[in-house]
Amino acid sequence: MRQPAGARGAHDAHDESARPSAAGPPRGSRPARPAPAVHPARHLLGRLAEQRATGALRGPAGTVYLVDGAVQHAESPCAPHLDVLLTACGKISPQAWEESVRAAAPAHRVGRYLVENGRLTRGELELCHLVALYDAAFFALSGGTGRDAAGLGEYGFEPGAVHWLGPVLPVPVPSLVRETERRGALLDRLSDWSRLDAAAVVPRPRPVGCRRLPTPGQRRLLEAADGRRTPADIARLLGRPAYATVLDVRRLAAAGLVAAPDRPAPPAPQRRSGAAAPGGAAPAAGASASRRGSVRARAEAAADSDPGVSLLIRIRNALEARL
Amino acid sequence: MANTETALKEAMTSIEGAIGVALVDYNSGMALGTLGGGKELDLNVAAAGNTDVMRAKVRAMEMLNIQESIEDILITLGSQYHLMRPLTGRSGKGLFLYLALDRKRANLAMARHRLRAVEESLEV
Amino acid sequence: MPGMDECLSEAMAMPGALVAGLVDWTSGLALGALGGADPQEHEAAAADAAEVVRAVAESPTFTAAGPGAAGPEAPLEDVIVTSAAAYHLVRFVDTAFDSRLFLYVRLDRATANLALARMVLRDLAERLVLA
Repeated sequence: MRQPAGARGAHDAHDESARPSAAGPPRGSRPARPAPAVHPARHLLGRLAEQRATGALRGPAGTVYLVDGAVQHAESPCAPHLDVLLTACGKISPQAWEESVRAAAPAHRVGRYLVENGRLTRGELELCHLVALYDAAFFALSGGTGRDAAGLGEYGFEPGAVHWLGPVLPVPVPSLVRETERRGALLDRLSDWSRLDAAAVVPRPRPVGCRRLPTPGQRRLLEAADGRRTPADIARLLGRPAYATVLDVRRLAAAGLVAAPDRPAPPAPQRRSGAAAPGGAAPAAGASASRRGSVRARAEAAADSDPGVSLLIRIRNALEARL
Repeated sequence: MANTETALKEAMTSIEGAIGVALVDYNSGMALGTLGGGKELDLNVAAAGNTDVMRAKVRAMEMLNIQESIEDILITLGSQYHLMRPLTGRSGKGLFLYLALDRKRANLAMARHRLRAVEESLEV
Repeated sequence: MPGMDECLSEAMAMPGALVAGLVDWTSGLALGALGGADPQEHEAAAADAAEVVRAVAESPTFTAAGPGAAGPEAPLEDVIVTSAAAYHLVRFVDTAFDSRLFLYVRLDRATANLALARMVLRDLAERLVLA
């Protein structure tokens, strides 16, 4: 049984914030001294914002891109990228997306290209971009599905790296950090169900006396929960932000409507998801693309499955070892 | 001054487009009285749903330290309006009137005005 | 076609408009906001509205998910909270992609025209995502 949410200080898993680029403490050990309040990546991001830095802050669970000290974009293998959000709902065809990336990634202006060619209105681009940015940044700045998991790896800053999407709406670093903390706090309220974050979930019959009915969106989630898909898989399948999916899974679990299967089903046949950010589709994006590739390669090496899933599993294992 | 039954009847008859009306206890989500409803709207279930909304608003205001008194909350669906109005009198503390309206037949401004009059005359 | 900032500017141009924002009710995040005295005011307004919206959007009464539902097709359009001094208007933004967004505006009751404000907000929410 996990500790209840209140039993652990809000941030006390992050004692390495003073040396963000150093290796973390031995896994599986509890920090010996009380920790400073700031997560290492968030602390580093704050310093980069003060310096009005431009470049990419890369961590074990994603990358945050800065332009002139403001957040231009974020990506995480745990969270669906823009293309997944837009193709899953049929707003843009995968072909049209790839064509846009081919045409405009070299000049770092894919976003503008999508609008200029009538694929999206500016409003749609901005909303989808912001939703994907906050979603990916939550994982990138938490080291996984909760802030407990930080310190699992190194954070490194690559000056000058620019994302191929190009400028859309910049987000001030303090806003992003505050929102990441708020999202962490919302998940912490349901920390008893955190082990489902990376689990292959299945729907459960509604408990007797359960007044709560799933919303239409939660019903689609339950339909997609086949005992093989994890919340990250479901988010990609439905083209839905991963944070909202993880939160919904925990809430449904709290209501008794979803659970991990007693015996996990065999993994689904491998599918190379066109889902993941079009790393392969943007060979011209230069240094940032190659670095992104290497991050993914490491994650894939760790487990022969979806990078987001293997990462979540690692994070979960590390978490459980600490408790 | 009107009792609950009279007030609900007054609301149903004087408000154009009314589908159903209920007096709801905010703490329990239970309806103290209902009139109307039927196949298209289960008033007891709707009362519970509306209570959740009212509670969310009160909880948010407490959490955020917002000092405000709520006069009414209106929810617009494709075909209906749902209107809730907390009772202001001392005896009505913790209660609200809930009115469901057919959007095609209702005059929203008039309905809000009338519901207010019903609420003010209601003695629980 | 307007972007988010233009959309919020137009909302703020309405008579009586005090604060306008575009909010994700997953967490109560204001993706963008205008008006008000300081950022805390936006955050509080967004969080307050998001609590109400979440309760509405998750209730079977308003989403046609079970008995007591308002109908098989009952899209949520807007929510208005009237307080002694202000109207709080919420309009759901129907994006093509799966999101939980709404436009929010707080209006001074003494100077606002509620019927007009509802129309303006509906128009803004549609134009924001209309291709």
